[in-house]
Amino acid sequence: MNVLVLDDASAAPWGPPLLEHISLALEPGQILGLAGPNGAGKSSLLRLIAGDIPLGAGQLLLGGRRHGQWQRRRLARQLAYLPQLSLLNFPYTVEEVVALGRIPHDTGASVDREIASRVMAATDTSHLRDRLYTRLSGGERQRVQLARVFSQIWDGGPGGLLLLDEPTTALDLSHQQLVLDAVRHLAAGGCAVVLAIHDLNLVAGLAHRVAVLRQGSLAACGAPSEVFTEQLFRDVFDIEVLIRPHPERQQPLVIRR
Amino acid sequence: MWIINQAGHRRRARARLLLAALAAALPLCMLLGLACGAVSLGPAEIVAGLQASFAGDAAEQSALIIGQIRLPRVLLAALMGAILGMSGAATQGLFRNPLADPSLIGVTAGASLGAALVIVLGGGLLQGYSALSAVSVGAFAGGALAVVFVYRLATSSSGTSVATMLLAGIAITALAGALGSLLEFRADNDMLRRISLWKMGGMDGANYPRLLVASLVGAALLLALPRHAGTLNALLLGESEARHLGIDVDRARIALITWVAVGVGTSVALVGTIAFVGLVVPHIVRMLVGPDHRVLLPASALAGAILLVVADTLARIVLAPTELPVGIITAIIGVPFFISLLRQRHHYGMQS
Repeated sequence: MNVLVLDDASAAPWGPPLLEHISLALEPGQILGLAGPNGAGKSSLLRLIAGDIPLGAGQLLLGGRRHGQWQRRRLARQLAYLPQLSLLNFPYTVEEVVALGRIPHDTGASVDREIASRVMAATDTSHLRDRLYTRLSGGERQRVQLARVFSQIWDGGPGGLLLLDEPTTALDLSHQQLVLDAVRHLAAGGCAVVLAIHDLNLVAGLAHRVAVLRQGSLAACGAPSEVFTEQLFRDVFDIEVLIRPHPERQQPLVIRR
Repeated sequence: MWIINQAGHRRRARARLLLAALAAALPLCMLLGLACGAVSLGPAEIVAGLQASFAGDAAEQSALIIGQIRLPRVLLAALMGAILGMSGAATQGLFRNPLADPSLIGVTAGASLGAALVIVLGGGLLQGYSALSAVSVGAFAGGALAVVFVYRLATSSSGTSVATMLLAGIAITALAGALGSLLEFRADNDMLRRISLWKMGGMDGANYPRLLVASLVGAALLLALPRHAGTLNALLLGESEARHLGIDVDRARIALITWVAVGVGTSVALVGTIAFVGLVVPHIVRMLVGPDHRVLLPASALAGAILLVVADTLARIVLAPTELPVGIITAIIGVPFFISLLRQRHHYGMQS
């Protein structure tokens, strides 16, 4: 069964339409990249799926059910969402922040600790565990928030859905790689992933499919090698690029002219 | 591995140590409160006085002092301090602002206005015991009304915004202050004195009926708020994040605001406005053991109780036999402490 189905979904929470006629489906283990210029609706789409903004028209199904049909805690065990910005400004230790991700579960302290130590290893935050969150650098905070969100659905099996809004903006290259590996690991375990990333070469190497948004509607959707064309970049991003095959991997490479 | 773990363990160990130390210190401070006053009593006299008053035999002077004056007073101070401390911790968590104070949601100003209204309009009709009770009822009603008003102002079809609530609280506080001043403008000298004494706060109205009300409200609050500790922990991440952790944020918010309003409303009604306990106590506790509400809430209750018992004892002995209003003492202890916290807040990683 599809983890996520959007059928002709539209949303206009404050009057003018934010998203219009979006149709998508996502199977367990699939990674969907969202691309598009600023303000195209990537974050809005993630927030719509997460339930932060209400659906205006069309249909949105998570595991075959509408948002209102889910019990809150049950949904939180399967759906984890990392927003772009974090408001946290209380001096939790890193370990305490990561532990918050286990709130919806009642798997017991020892399982929670085990999962916490694994997600901290996967985000290279183990050595920060006793540091205060408020004293970390931007990239370290982003990794801690990622660890928290990972811990919410780690080992959740098929049916999980992970939503990441620009999870790598503050990360250096090696930590970007680390986080992408963790995302692949989750997907291999059956978790579906939707992520918005501006680095299109990163998306091309990670995502099974890419959805390109423009002014709140889908401009293109499909495998990165089909979607990323020089014409699309001209139309959507208003920029001239070269698309070349990656010399070592099966993915297109986007090069600015 | 255990070496890396040490600091985290240290925080947890410190939390246990702090709770134990506070739990041990509270009874000692309460005994000190029983011993000190216009007449100093020794340990033997306290024990004898307690025994006599429990036996209902209050013939001796020390038994009278303990049973009728100091015991209800010390117990009331402990309960009020616990309510204010825990309410403060919950308010700061709910507003995600370490500088928030329970009075921010308008309850204190509303209660002051309610009390002033009863004092001025009731005027000469109410005397003695019935006057005190009527003022308390007026204060509680005023506080409750103000909170309901603030909550309604901040709630729209798209939900309740805590940021709007903060602003609405400031507005309602200003309005209630202005209306209070208007009443004082009209009041005669006797009323003015009663209003201003009431505003300064004090335990001098302590008696067993008041203690009963305080115990009931206190017990309910001290049992109810810690049940929301996990919710408050998640709320520090942000409301939307808490929602995605499976928490019914709207219901939790109503429950928390209701409990804080009932707790602070009761405390203002019984002992007047007491500054800084709800603000400073959770702040200090958080500095020692971090923001985990599972520790913060009970520890703030214990520390608030200790602070108010000690402050009330000081209020009785500094200018004995005259009593100072306890609100003055808490402010005099609290403000310098708070200012020093503000100046060193980077030492413990607090940002805002």
